Amino acid sequence: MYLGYVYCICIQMTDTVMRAATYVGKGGVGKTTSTAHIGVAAVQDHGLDVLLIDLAGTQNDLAASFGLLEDVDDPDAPISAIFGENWEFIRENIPDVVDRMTFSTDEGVDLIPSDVGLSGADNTLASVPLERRYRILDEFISNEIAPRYDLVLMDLPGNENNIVLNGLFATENTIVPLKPGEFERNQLQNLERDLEAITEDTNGDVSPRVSMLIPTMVDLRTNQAEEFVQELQADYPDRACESIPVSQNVSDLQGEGRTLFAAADDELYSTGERAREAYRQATEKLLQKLRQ
Amino acid sequence: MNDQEDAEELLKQSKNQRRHTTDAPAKKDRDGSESVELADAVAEVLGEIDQGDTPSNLTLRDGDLAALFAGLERSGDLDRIVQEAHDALDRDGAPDSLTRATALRLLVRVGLAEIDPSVIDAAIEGKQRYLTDQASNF
Repeated sequence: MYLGYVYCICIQMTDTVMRAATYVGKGGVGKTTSTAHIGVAAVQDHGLDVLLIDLAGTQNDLAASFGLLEDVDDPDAPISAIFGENWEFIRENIPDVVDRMTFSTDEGVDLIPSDVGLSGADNTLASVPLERRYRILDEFISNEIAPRYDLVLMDLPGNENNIVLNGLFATENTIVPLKPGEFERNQLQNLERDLEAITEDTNGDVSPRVSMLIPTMVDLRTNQAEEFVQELQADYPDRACESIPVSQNVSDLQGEGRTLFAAADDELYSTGERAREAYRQATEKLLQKLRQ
Repeated sequence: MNDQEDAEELLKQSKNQRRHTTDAPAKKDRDGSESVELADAVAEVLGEIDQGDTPSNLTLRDGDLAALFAGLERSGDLDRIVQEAHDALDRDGAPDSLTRATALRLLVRVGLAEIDPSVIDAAIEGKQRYLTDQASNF
């Protein structure tokens, strides 16, 4: 029985754009939900220009969270193009290609949806020389996104592949999803080792590390969930965020293409209100970390 | 088509990539050149064989073929097969021998030539390059 989940946020701050990526090794634990809510909170509470990039498979859950599923079904300019050998040629000859990739939402964030070409792109990345293979997304963010936005949030796929490594290289700070149990602790330790290996293998040029933790879908009515959150905060006092309570409002609103922030107060149960406030606080903590 | 039209077409193709239909592009060396050509590979391996770094024998385990060739020997048909393979390759003179090994050497070449004659041509070119390199070391 799941009592709570923790979401992974990868954070990097550059001179011109703050970067974060959600990364969790399993599905159905609210990774996309967190990406969407943190993005909206950053816009509405902090006045930032925020871009969300969905690299997490082809279901386009992030677009669905904002009611854009039909709009992004056949993207005019797919994000998968940036990973191909023709990207520079495309960029030179289609000056507005990044604008064409980007969709506006009703909640203030912009969104680049995923596309089915990402699976093929992951395949072709295998032949890119190692010294460049995992830096393509970083270059894209620096060259194309940094001049336009204050914050970029990436939703990464749950399985480690070349696209994920691009995301980790581009953001460097990684937060591991945890749910109650020794398995999850082991998962965290394994990921920490993997990230350390990347640092060693790149001679410190890239230093992904475990960063912020966001426990989600937490049911504090149970002692086990309460203990789980307390343990997390005790073990990771500088990295554990406010826990996000489980709330039916989240899935109901997702079905309508809205986040908690788009709902009026009288539409929300108490759990929905607490979840919304928790995402606000998580975003506040995230941005403080990014601005350090 | 002009460059912009080419770029639009490439952009459109990007989203049609699928993992099960996408072949990784030919591996490129650090300077971006394509993989070594077959003739160069043959020349290189001939050198390795001479140095003892690569074995010169080909082996395969196939019960059916083993039975066939044993049968050809016992039935007396192997000589004819060797001769016909020799002729199919337009070789001068007589076959080196009328043994099973000679038959296999010739028949593999016949088969490759039927599938892709350029493979044989590349092999010949590779051998020529290797021999030329050896001669230049005189």
